[in-house]
Amino acid sequence: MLNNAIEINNLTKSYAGFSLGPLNLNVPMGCLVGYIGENGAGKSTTLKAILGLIHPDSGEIKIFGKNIKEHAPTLMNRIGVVFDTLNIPDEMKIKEVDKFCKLTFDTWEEVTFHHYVTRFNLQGEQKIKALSRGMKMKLSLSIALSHQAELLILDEATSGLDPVVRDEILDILLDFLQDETHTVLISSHILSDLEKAADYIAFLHNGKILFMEEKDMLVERYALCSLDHELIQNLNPDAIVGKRKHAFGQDLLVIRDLMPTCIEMSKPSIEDIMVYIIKGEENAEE
Amino acid sequence: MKALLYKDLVSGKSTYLLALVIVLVIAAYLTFNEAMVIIPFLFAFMPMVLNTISFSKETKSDFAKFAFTTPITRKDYVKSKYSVAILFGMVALLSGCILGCLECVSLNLALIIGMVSFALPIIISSIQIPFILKFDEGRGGIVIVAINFLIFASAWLIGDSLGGLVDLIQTISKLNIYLIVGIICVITILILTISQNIGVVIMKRKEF
Amino acid sequence: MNIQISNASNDPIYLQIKNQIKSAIISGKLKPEEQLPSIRYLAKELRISVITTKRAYDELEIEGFVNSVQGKGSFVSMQNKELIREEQLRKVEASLLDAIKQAELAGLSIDDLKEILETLGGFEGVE
Repeated sequence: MLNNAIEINNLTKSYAGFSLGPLNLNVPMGCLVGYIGENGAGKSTTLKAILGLIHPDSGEIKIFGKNIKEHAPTLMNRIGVVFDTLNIPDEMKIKEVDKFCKLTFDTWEEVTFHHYVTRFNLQGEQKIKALSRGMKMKLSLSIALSHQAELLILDEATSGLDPVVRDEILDILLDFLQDETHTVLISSHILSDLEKAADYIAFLHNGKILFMEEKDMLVERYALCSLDHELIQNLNPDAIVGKRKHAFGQDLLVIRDLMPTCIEMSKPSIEDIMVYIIKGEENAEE
Repeated sequence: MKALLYKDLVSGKSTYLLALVIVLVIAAYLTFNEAMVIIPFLFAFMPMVLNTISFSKETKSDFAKFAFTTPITRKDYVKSKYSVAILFGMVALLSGCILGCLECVSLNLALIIGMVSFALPIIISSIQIPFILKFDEGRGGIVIVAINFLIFASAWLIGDSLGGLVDLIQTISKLNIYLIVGIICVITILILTISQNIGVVIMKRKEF
Repeated sequence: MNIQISNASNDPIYLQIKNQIKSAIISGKLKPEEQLPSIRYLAKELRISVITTKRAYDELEIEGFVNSVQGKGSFVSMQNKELIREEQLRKVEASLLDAIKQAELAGLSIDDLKEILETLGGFEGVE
């Protein structure tokens, strides 16, 4: 896990009313990295910059150590992409998509594609327009997995899908990662997908990366607790990351090590960490 | 590029079939009305219409976004857009020459008609396609319609002075025919190349 | 091999895995030189991070219970009786320390504790 599949240095990109960066992010090879943040934080922008679909104002991006500007498009053989929409004409049939991909990718594997199509209960004769959202996602994933990709990038690919489908997809991603040269970067605002299996979590907030850390470390460092207004006065203020005040007390995200041991604390989810950190930022601004 | 041509063919099957039927119908009408010589010029405008239709289909599915996550280059993508025009150009060239012979005009005239029929669809598409590539957002549709309209209008105006044009052609055909044909060919290819390069620059700057 | 993770437990997941594998080795359920599942396979089946499983295996290796061979995988190391005994002793010590702490809180002396130990030992039929 020493090499980086993706290296982003000083990426900046501005649109009207929004600016991303300067952003530095390294995605280690062999890992499942969850890229989280609020809607509009800039996750998709980052991923599109990685893929060369948008042009950064500044910064350098390397995939497998190669500069994307110079080495795309052959590099694209090694990258599997799944967006939240399937951008293929409605009138095309799945078997025609197969043929198209065969003409496009140097590394296309028909057998693998058929395997996934069958596994997902899709048929070659089906037209794109006849597919539900879930089926379109599955087709998208089938394509991404059928050209010997070493890096999978998923951009909000699971939004709008039911938990059963999302679970299936997680299984497939974990299968994909059995090869230690494979890497997955998944951006999502549905965090339950990443809760358990992610290796690293990168959190994007207001165009900047607040942290990029081992998920286990995060879950061990922070804790949730619920206290009444008086007890809170006695706490080390540095221990409190974010809080939610309510009529009967406060819910807090705290740093475990800075808390007295007698207080009852529970393990936070990634969602808790994200929400409370954002609350903490807002509280600080007040 | 093979992949893109395959995709265009396969996702536009019904459209192309319809276009073929319309062309055949018009061709038949023209034949019965003794105006067969207009047929090659018909081919000149078909690519423009087909380009517009296929462009709107592609915008609907945002296909370019998918295409550029594959090994397809911006250059391949742009070049594939001209293939319809080039194809029709070839067909027009052939039909122009054949019809010229059928109508028993001079060989020179037939050659000129064929060459001009070859040049027209390519030049028209070369003007149209950069605009299609540049303006694919909502308001872009209006620009495309405007360009199409302008092209038709110019053709109409030229068509009005068709009488004078025929005389011009008669005059020219008495000159060195091969020079004329050669010049038309070179100019066409030049315009095509320039248009393609502009198209590539546009696509490289574009964001998805 | 059975491994069950509890999210409710206060122990970090890597520790739960480590302890369960260790128990299996000590109790003989996992034999010497038996191959353990790869860290990635374990991570996938348990739906946890591969960093977690790696950490568990790394610590097991440091403690001498497991050997990792580059390119081949991880194997239970040759039964080191002393190691196992040390581990068992460590566990007993930890439990006793806990008992002593509780006894203090309850106001019992070490002698009281010894009495209780002997009584309990008698009931359990331990020699």
